[in-house]
Amino acid sequence: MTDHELIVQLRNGNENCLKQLYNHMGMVKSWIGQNNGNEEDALDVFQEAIMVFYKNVLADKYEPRGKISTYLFEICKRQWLNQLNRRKKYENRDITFSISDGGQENNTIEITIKGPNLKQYLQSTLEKIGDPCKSILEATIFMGQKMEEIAERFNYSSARSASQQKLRCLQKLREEVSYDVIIRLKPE
Amino acid sequence: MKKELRHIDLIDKYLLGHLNPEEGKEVQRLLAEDPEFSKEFEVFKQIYKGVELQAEDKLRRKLTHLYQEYQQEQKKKAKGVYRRLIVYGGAIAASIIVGTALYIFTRQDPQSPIGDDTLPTTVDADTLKNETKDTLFLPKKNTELVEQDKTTQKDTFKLDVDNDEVQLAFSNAKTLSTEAVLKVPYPSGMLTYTFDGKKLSLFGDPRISGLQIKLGKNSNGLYFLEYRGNLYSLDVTRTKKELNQIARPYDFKTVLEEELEIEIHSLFTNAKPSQDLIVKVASGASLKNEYYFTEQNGKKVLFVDSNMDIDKMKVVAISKEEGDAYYLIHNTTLYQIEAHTAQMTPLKELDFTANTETRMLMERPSFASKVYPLSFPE
Repeated sequence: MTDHELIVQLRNGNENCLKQLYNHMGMVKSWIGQNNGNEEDALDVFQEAIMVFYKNVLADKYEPRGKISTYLFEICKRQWLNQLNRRKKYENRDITFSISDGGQENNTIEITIKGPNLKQYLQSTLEKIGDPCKSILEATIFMGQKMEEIAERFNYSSARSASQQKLRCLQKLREEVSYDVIIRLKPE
Repeated sequence: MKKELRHIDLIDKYLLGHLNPEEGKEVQRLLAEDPEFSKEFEVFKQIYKGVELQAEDKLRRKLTHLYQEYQQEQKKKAKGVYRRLIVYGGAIAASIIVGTALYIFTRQDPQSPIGDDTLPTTVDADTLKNETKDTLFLPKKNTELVEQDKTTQKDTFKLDVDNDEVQLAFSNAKTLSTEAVLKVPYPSGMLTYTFDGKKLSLFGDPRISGLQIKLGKNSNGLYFLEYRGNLYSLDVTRTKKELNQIARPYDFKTVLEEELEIEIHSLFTNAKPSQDLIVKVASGASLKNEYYFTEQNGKKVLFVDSNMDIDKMKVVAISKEEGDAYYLIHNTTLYQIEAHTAQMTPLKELDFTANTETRMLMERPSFASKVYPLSFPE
């Protein structure tokens, strides 16, 4: 599959095509290997790069100037250098932990428990609304895909009717969510 | 209704950064004046965050899965190329040798009686059978070439002939007892459990990790299990029971000073003796550690040529839609067995933690899990 074909397939929702991108990982692996990283680092960084690429393609922010492989490699390079910098900073940082008094300590514990809980709660409501709503919301909110493309991908006659469908989905999702629960679970 | 949708539309545009200046002003005004709108705004902000988080999680999982598939495909491909190399390489080597032989042969004294007779058949260099014949007629000084030719042929086309030889060697092979040849269905994700009030045993999916599980206890002292975003009630039961989902909104609070022991059973708990596979082991025959599959009397037979202790051997077939996956366990060592391998293949040692499938065969120690108070709002 050529670069162009891949982009067309991805826009149509054929996520499995992302698999072929792993063909380009060798370069990244050896470069990270030469720069204080191991294979696991390379896989992590490469996976993040695929996500950036994929999101940019769907959000129409990807401008095919060169090859996808070069694009991925550039993202990986940047990400890995950032990560190395961050590691350095972290090592040099003075570790000053302020220990809070009893009352506040309780608070921090509660927050850590609340965090993942809200996520779980929202996840279960998302499951309830099912497809195509779930996929449409993921595509517009997470991937940033435009309504014109959503219409094409999910077979709506126009961007306008796709937008209306999206609003109905949001409404449906809203009905499943309780304001009180959200406020209670929301991290401070 | 209309107004509600209009508000959702505004909030959506705001959160995705698509507002025009006019709409921007409207949102500011509504936030300042309409408490109901502010409330909705807050809810949607969280909802959008939730959608993003869950979509990101999903995509990450998907990519990990695709990568695993990719790796497997690469492995298969590499093997294919290798095999082709041997076949082509063998064929090329054979034709070069035959060619050279012909050249030398034709340069021989034309009066040689054998040469005249066999020349026509030698021309047919494509069929390897003929080659063998041809080379045999070569004059003595070319024996080296003949030897080489034989070996290349043998490597490339060993399949049938070799198997027969090996089977002869296996005539004193021992058969693994039927209890040691197991068949397990690939987990469908359907969970069953037993629970005695202190220890919860989960069956049916060994892939579960402790992180995916959360235990709750309501004010009546009843226990609940949260798994994959769903809540299930837990009864005290000695016989395996299916999980019963609770479809009400629920809410966990700060952790209790209580723990339950959790035991996640490996795939073996669902294993049954295999009806369609026989395993034969030629123990003590060699130190080769090789295996291959064959068929005898309509049954699939796995021959293992190895010095393993037959009493400590176990073969597992995990049945999946795309066909069975085979593993051999000797003592505490795991070996991967490629299905449908009709050629002698070296046994490949594998770590139990190598992939999701092998992890399912691992016996895992039970662990303690905290219990959280659970309430049902409304």
